[in-house]
Amino acid sequence: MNIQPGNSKTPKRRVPSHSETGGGFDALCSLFARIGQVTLFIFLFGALFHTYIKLDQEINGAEAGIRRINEECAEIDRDIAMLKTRRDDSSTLPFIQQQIARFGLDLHYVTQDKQQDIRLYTNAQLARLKRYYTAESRLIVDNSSRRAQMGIR
Amino acid sequence: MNQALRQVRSRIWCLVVLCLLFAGALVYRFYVVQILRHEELLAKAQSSYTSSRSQQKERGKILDVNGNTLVGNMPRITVTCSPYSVVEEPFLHLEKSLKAGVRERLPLLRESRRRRVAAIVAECFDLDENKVYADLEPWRERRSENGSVSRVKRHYIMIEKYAAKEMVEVFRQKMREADLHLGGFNFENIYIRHYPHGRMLSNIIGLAGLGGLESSESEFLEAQSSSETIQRSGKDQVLEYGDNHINQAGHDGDDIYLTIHEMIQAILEEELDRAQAEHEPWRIYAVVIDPSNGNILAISQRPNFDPVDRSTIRQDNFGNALAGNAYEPGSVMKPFFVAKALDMGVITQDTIIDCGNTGEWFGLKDPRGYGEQNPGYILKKSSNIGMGKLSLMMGADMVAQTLRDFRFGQRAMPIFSGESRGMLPRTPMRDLTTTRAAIGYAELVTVLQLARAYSALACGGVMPELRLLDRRRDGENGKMIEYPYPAEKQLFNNPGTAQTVTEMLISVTAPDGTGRRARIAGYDVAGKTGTAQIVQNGRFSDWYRASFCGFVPARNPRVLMAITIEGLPYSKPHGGGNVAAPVFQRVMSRVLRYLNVPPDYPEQLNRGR
Repeated sequence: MNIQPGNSKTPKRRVPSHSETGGGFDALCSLFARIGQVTLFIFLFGALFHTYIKLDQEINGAEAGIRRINEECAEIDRDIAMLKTRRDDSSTLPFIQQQIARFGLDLHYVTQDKQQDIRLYTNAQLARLKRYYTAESRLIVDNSSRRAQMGIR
Repeated sequence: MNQALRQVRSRIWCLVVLCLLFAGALVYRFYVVQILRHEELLAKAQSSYTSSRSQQKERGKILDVNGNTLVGNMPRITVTCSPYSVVEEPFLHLEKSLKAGVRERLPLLRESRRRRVAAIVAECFDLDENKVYADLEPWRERRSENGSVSRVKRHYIMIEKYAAKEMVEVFRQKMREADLHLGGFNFENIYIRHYPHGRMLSNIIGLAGLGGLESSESEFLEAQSSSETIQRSGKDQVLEYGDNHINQAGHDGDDIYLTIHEMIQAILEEELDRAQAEHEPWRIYAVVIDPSNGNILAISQRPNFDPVDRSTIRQDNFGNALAGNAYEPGSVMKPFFVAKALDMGVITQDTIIDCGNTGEWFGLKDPRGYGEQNPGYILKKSSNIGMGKLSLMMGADMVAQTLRDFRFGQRAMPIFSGESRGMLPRTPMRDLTTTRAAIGYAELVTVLQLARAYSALACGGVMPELRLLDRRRDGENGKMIEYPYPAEKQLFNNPGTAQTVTEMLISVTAPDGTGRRARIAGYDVAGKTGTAQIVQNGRFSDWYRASFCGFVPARNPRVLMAITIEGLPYSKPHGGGNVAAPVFQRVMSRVLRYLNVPPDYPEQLNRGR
């Protein structure tokens, strides 16, 4: 029998572990590691929160800017409306007649044979007119009805 | 020892209980405030720092067919003020902090401020300084029912209702220079209606809410104001980072384009002014239309009012009498009966009708006996006896049918509220009524109905519906919406009828016709005069109504005009040929030049120059 002799009540001698030999330093390291983790987390959270605040501020700032610009646009619209009313005032026949009298201009109504229609066509209208006249080789005598058909005033 | 320990313990317990009670009370209060009364208190808090503001948008404009503004909008600023905020509030925080000796001088400072503000307001807005000073009184007395008098703050006075932007800018500048802040003043941006042409078309356009197109088309003209909720600080400044949001996006009203030509309208207005000054009638109604499509090119009446100066509005000049007043038109009705008789084969253009030699026949009178004449001559000389006999040849039913065919008794322009349908003689007609109907004395018509009916004669029997609204620009999306042309109706069985009547109407303006004063050099004019006695108190009076309806160029009409001048005394020129035809001539000759209508006889134009 392979029985080890000796008193079984004698306490076994404990072999000191490696950790206990350098224990203080390790604990400190782990503490710093934990603090580092927490700090990192706090920083991360803070950064996110800061970004959120910053973005929110910028959105609000942009909204405020939009509101200001809208107000300025409304103001400009009102100025335009004012200028339009002045233009309307000064293009009425009574006003023009007043000015003719004021400056003694020798103006009179034209007679029919002294009038000539000048029309400004868009490129598309011009192309349609050209197509019409070259295709049918017509003389331009009275094309008012034809122009109406083609949607040209 | 034990005794002392017990005492301490009991005190600690008391303290703990008190703390718990306090904490419980706090929790309960928190529960009440945050949970039970949450909605109510939140609303209360929000109402104190939240307000809504709206921005007025432009009411739709009314423009002519070429886009010239007839009625626009002018931006203005309404300046109001709270006298209490201007005079009292700046000194409120000083009252407690100032030393006793200085505090007594506060009323003097208030007076000085009130005086300075009044001086600037009066100078900038052209007001009486003393009146402004009196208006700036910050307190007013209020008597209660039991007779006791208390002082209340005055928070609202109107400084200037429609101030120009420049005035307000100067005011702000002067207040800044005088080191007076603008707290207590309120500046509200508004638009007011602007009438660049003054009286032109005033009766047709009317005033917003008071009739005319402004009322009938208000559904489209009205703008939708925008509204937004804003949060304000204690100093009444908008919190830029507050929960500000737009509740309703506004948009401008729709712009309405009429068929009116601004220039033709201006010509008509000028000539009506001249006729008004020349003849001083009670009323003038006139309308110029394009007979080919019924588009109204110009329309006017006298008397009219100035929409800018509302003191000119009277009962007799405000409404649209042109559409609302139906009257006995007289001889301008004759061509319709001749046309119908020709079309139905009752007569031909060579049929001879005996107009007698005495100039009198059963109450109908002619200036002299015309003898036996054809229908063309009867129209040329406007023979009442000839027409009376022609009507008897047609018969009462056909005469009544003629009036219905030419759509008398039916509204010509339904967009005019209060438009008269006119009145037709009751059927079956007796012979006397039949003869009177044929000379325009038994029916009531409006000038619009006359213009519509004449356009059928001008355009080969095709009668268009009158149009005043041409198109509309949607204020929300800018889309242009065309108003449709109503279906037209052919009145004559025989296509040559209208041409025959037109030739007869050209003879009316011949040198020996009743309408010779309507002649226009270079053009054939087709038209008919009308002179009717006005009925007053059930009897024919010495007052007359002169009319002229005609179209030019007669064989290819571009413009048609109907004019009625009402209230001409017998002692002065009162006939359609003397009074209405010259107005027609003046208007039409200018309109033809403006429209550049090629003349029928160019050599006449050159000769006349």
